[in-house]
Amino acid sequence: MTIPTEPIGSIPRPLRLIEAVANGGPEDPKLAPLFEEAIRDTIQRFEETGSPVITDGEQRKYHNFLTYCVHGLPNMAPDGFKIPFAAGHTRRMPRLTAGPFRYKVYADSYLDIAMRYAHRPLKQAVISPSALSLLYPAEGIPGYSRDEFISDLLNEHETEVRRCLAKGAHKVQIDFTEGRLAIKIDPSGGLLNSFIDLNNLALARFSAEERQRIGVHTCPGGDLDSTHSADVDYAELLPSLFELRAGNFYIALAGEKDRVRVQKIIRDYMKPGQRIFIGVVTPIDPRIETPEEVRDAILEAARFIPIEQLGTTDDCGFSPFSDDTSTSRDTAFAKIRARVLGTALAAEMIGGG
Amino acid sequence: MDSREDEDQLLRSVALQNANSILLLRQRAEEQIFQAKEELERKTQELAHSLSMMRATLESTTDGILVVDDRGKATGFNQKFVEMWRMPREIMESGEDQKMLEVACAQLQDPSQFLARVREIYASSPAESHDLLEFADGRVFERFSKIQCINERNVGRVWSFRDITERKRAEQELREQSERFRVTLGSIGDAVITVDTHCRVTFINANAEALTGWSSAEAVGQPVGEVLRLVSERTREPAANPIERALAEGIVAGLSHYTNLIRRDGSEIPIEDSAAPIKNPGDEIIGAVMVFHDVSERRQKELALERSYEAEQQARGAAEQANQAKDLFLAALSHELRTPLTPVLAILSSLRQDAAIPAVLAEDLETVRRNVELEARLIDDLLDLTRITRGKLALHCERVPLRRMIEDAINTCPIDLAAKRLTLVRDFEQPERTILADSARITQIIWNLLKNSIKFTPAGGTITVRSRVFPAESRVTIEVQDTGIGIDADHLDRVFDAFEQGDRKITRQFGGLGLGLAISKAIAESHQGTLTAASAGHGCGSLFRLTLPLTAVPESEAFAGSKKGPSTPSAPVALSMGQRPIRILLVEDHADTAAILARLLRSIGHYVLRADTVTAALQVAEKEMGATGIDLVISDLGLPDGSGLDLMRELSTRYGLRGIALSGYGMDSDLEQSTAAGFSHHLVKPIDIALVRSTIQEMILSS
Repeated sequence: MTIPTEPIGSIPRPLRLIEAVANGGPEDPKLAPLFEEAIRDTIQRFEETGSPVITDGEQRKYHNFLTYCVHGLPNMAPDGFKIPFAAGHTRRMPRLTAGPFRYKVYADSYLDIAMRYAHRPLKQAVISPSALSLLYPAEGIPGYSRDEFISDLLNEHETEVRRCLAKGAHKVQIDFTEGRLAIKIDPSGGLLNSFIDLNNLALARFSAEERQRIGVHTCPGGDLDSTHSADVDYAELLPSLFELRAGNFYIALAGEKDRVRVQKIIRDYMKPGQRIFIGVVTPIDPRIETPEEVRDAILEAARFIPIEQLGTTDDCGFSPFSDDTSTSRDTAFAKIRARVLGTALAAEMIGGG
Repeated sequence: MDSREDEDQLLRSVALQNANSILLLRQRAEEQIFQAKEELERKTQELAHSLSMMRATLESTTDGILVVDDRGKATGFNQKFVEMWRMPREIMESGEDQKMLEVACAQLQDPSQFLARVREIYASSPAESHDLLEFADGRVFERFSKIQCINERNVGRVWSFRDITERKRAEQELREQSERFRVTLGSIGDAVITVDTHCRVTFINANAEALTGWSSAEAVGQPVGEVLRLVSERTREPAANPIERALAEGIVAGLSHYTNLIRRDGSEIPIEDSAAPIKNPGDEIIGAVMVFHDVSERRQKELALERSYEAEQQARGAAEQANQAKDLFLAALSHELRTPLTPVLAILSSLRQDAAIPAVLAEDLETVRRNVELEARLIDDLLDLTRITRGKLALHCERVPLRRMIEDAINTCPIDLAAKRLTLVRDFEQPERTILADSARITQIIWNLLKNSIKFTPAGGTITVRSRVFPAESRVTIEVQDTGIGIDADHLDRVFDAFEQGDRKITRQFGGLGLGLAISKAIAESHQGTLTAASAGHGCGSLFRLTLPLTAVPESEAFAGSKKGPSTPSAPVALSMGQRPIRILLVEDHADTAAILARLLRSIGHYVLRADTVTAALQVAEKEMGATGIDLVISDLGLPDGSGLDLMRELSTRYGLRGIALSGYGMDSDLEQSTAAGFSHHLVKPIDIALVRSTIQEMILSS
């Protein structure tokens, strides 16, 4: 038997690319060969890990997993909300200044390049509507109501997902890292539920068959080896998370202090037909897990999650922000290799046992 | 509050505001979902209803239905399909098309062809397909299929199967019947042509080919009027074709007689035919058939017969004319023979009353009278025989007492009986009976029998007249038995033949023509009776028995008297008390007859005016009617310048006179003509003066 295993998405960019972007900006035509080479190399190395499902490492996403689709739009101002991380630094979101709300870049454009080099199924990550909903300012926008914005947001999200599915993405993963952040902001859970509602409104636009190719990723938010909401208990998030109508859930688990407790919560709230990909490697930890450690983590998880609903993944992207150099590409691929091998070991053990 | 807290508060504010919008959106979405759900439920109900209807339709149809998806997998079927294909239920429920095909192939005559056709249909996806499936056990299915598309995408196919085994069998039987029909029509002796509803020939047998001159290949498809050209034999006009009438009116129609068929080469043959509509089981006319045959031979015979008949008619006409001439001749002969006898008998009757006549002379006169009377009788018999042989003997039947007729006959014979000193014995059964008969004719029979007995019984013999009634057998008998010479057994069966008197010796000894018994027998038979003769042999006397039907007639309706009897010669008697003299115009061109009649009428007291022509009679009448008048006209019918009938019509019309006809013409038609002309009575010559006297008296009394 096999246990499916998939990456979350981002791989640290080559340093040359990071430096070139820092000097010339992401739109500089001269950077195109660098981007192309980064993608080719990423895919090649990804495939060398043995991972059955790969990504382009989000080499082309700028500047991060959250704002790639609106970066450079004229109706965006840089003074949006600040996302505080535990290490003390912040990342600032843009702010919508006028309607209508439209994406500048759809993620399927990354697939166009990646597919030229990939020999294995490609997965594509997109940002959730709930995360983008924070672009609308508190004071509102004259002539463009919040309701109109939400409606436009859902349409743009649906368009992006459909384009990815239509281009043959093996999976489309919706990054929902703000789930735990929502609880942190609103401990009553009201905000989290509104995020769940919004994302479900988007998911409701797809058929059950399509939703089997759509997943939701949640993690405490990783950046510069730090998180924004690791202190929020999964017990407050997961019951609501499983209400999402996605077919797949990518849940960071390897970095959790009490994995068994989390796995019990997963067991109690997961639903039939849902595939639970548990994180078995931690991008923010520079130590590379061994395949045996991964295997053991999976065997542990298999005690709580039916094997036919179990999968493995990374806890988070290795470099959600394009300028993050805290983790090397080698480390990332080594961890991925460990995930792949460990998953295979676990599958072998479970299948043989 | 530091900036971090402000930031958090602001984010919280935005998030919560978003949450409100999301909630509203969710509510709208839920509302939409609810409406969509309701719509879906409604559609589901409609669909369920439609499916239910479709299922009921599928199950109620007589066809087997199978629905498959685009890969040939069964997705639906009805019970009829399962029954028709004898498909195990578990295979149907599994939907495994391969197993279904195996079951089907096991039943078919040519499984490979069946499978090839199935593959071809699935490969080419025709919109529809239709073919026949023949089973190893003889069944035949008609197979239809129709592609099922949704949004122009092939989603499967519906197969329908109809068991047409019985239809095929019926069609085969129909073909065989049609073939037998064609063979039968081809082999029968008559010519046969069938047409469709457009009157075009669909079949023509060999005989019809021969008669019309059209071959089957040429005739089929042609309008029947081209092949069957008909013309009236007599008018030469085109004859209506009966086959067209049979088609139009749905009846059996035939040609009028004497119709000729104009053959293709222009020659003609007479035909006889009959045409009838051909109907299908639904009683609809689908064509017509005409059967005809050549009647040339029969027609030739008919023509020959017609010619023969015409010749016969001509001959019959000539014979009729000859018969009429003969009748006229006989009537004239009778008249001419009777007329001279009238004055002789009148004179003899008058002389018998004359006491001055010596006894010897009286006997001579009696001999003369008897022979004259015999002569008159012979004339009457000849006329009767003529009537009998021509079937013109007319009877005037009425209710009449049996004994009266016998006595009337006996009363004519006292002189003859006395002359031979014969004893007459009356042996009549009581009570008196009445029968329905022509009294004059029955009297004539009895008189004949009496005359015969008198003739053939030697002097001093006995004649017995006997009557008997047999009510149970509804008949009466009158017998005349004598002690005469009798009849030999050899002659008994010939005594009733005309001109037969036993043998020539008898004829020579007793005279006569031998007509009396023949006439009597004919009269008896015309009354539904019989006349038989019996004799123990020569010298043993004879017995003649007349048998007549007895009709039960009340005595109160008994006959009062006979209107007409045989002329009985009797002497004139002067007017008695109560009788008065009248003025009589006597018209007679025979001088002797006129003279003696006038003398006799005057001798009994009447005043007589004479005329010998019509003209003279009219002159006398004109003169006398202007003076003392005329009471009665007695006129001969054959007068030199005209007919007594014309005279009577004139006198009757002008003066209202009544009359008595005197005529040698005694046929029934003569009596009718006299009555029509205005005569009250018609007396046939020779005239009995006593009858004249009684007739005059009757007329006087009736006036």
